Amino acid sequence: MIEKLRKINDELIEKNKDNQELLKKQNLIHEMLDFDDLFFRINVEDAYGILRDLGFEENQLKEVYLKLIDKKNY
Amino acid sequence: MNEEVKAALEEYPYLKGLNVLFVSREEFDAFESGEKVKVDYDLKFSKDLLRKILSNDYYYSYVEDLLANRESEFILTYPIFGDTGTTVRYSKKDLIFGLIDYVDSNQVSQEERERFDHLKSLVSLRSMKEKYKDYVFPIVIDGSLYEIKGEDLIAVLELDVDDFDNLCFNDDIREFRGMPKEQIIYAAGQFVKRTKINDSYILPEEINDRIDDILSNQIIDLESVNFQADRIDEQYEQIHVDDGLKKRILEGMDPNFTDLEKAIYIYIMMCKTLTYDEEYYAVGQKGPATEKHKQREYIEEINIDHNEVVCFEFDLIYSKLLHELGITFHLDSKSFDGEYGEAHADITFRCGKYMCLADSVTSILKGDMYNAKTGKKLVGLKCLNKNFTTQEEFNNQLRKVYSYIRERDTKRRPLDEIVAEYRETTDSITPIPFVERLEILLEKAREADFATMDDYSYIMDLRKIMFTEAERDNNVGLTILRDPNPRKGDKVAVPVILFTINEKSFYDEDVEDQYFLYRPHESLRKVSAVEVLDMLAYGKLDFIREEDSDKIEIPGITDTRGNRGGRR
Repeated sequence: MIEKLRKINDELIEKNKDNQELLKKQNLIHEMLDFDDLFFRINVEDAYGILRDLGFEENQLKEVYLKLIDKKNY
Repeated sequence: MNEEVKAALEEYPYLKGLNVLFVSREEFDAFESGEKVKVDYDLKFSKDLLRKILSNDYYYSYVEDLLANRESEFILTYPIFGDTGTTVRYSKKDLIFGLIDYVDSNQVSQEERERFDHLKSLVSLRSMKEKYKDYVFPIVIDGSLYEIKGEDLIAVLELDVDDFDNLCFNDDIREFRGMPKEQIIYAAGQFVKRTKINDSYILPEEINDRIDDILSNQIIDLESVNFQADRIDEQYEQIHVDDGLKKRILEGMDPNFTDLEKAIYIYIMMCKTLTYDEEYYAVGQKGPATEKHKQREYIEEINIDHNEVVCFEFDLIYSKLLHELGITFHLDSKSFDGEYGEAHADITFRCGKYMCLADSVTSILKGDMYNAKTGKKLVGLKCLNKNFTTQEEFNNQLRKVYSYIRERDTKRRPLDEIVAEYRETTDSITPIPFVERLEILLEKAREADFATMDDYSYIMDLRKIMFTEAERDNNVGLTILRDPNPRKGDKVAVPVILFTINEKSFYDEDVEDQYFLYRPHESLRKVSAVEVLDMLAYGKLDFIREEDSDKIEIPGITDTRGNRGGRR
């Protein structure tokens, strides 16, 4: 699942390369996604924030988050 | 003594040397089929047998001699063709429990009462202390022979809860009665195991609790004492590790790491630097291509450029490096004769209180020589201790070292720093309602099987990321208790998790706390405060440590004064 987020983030970095503000945010997300255990180390509200910034809809957040914190990823 | 028995013993005199109570077959069968005294669910006695022990000289003198002079248990049987027949056995302690029940519920004569009192005195604490006060207990601890006075060992067992806690956890106290404290506590446990005093004497509950504390290794972890102490593996002496390889493995190791952290670091760096020999894999681990791996000298050819190894080569190199750290270990080949190079091998080692297993090739394709390179979870380095705290400490050190290596190698900024900066650049972070976060936690708890300690760590970590510290203190409690009668498997006890939930606050009188209990391999279950109190009262649940009942607060269940029933 985290690999999918990394791919989305790469696409958003490419898409926003002319928008410094959005690019900065995506670059920070890129740095965070480099940690394989990211979603076991940051609180759930920060995690939701990241998912929103990656373009997930509000009604998708919980489902995606549950997959990210699944025991098999621990 | 029955005439039939007398005759049998004369015909087969060697039977007299057996420490058993012989009765005739007819008497034995009568005991088995007659009225019973039931002391406990699985402890029953023939009422007639108990009566005869107190009223019949032959029975009484056997029991008196047994309790006063012998280490064995009570054995009742009959002679048959020069051998013993079916036996009935009781520990000395259980026998006295039977007599207590009998005397309490039956009329006995004055003489029988006096005999009972005398027998009971033979298994009292006083008797035990008298017997062992001058006893010297020989024990080998980590290669050294000690001779410890019985009275000193009994003093350990007689420590009250606070004094025992203080001895175990106060780092300023290093010795007890002139011996290092871990060693004398370990020796006290071995003394109990060897003499079986807890089966032979009726001891106060406090002493029985102390014995359980010591032998369970859950209060103070002594499981590693004597682990690997007598193992001398010298195979590593025969090999030389390439200098460049050794440098690659050891460089960058934090000199402030503990010995365990260093052992973990070396394991991970070896997994990152070496790779499984694909030729060995391709030939199915047999045939002429494998022959070179059976020679220890082949290890000298392994270096950074020629880094293919198989399991026993990995282990031999690792053992050499562990030896240089002063860590004792044992190489365990799975071949039937233990020969090097004939089968899969792993290595067990001891580092302080930690007993560890290292197996870099749990799976050729998904073992740690793959996992460490890809940043995946390591599966081959494990803590063998049963103590929950020790396991958690081990896992914390493993995570620390692994994160250290990964962050060093990727030259990443600390995560906290990145998150802090991210929070300042985004508007996307909003509060999530308490109930929604709770649903996530409970859903994950329902899914977890709790087959291993990792599952408990997983749920505890999820609780930390779902809730702030204040919320964990006031709204979402998690207590690990013990189920001493697990329904499944062959374990003596298992940890269980009790969640205490209150959206407002545990300290709000208007809103009741809710409780959810999780047992391994079972679904998460909502329970009431009354059910929890009952389970604690009747021993279906217990604190991991007896003294935790005074220290751990389960909101609405126990307060810190140990009063059950809490604040409501």
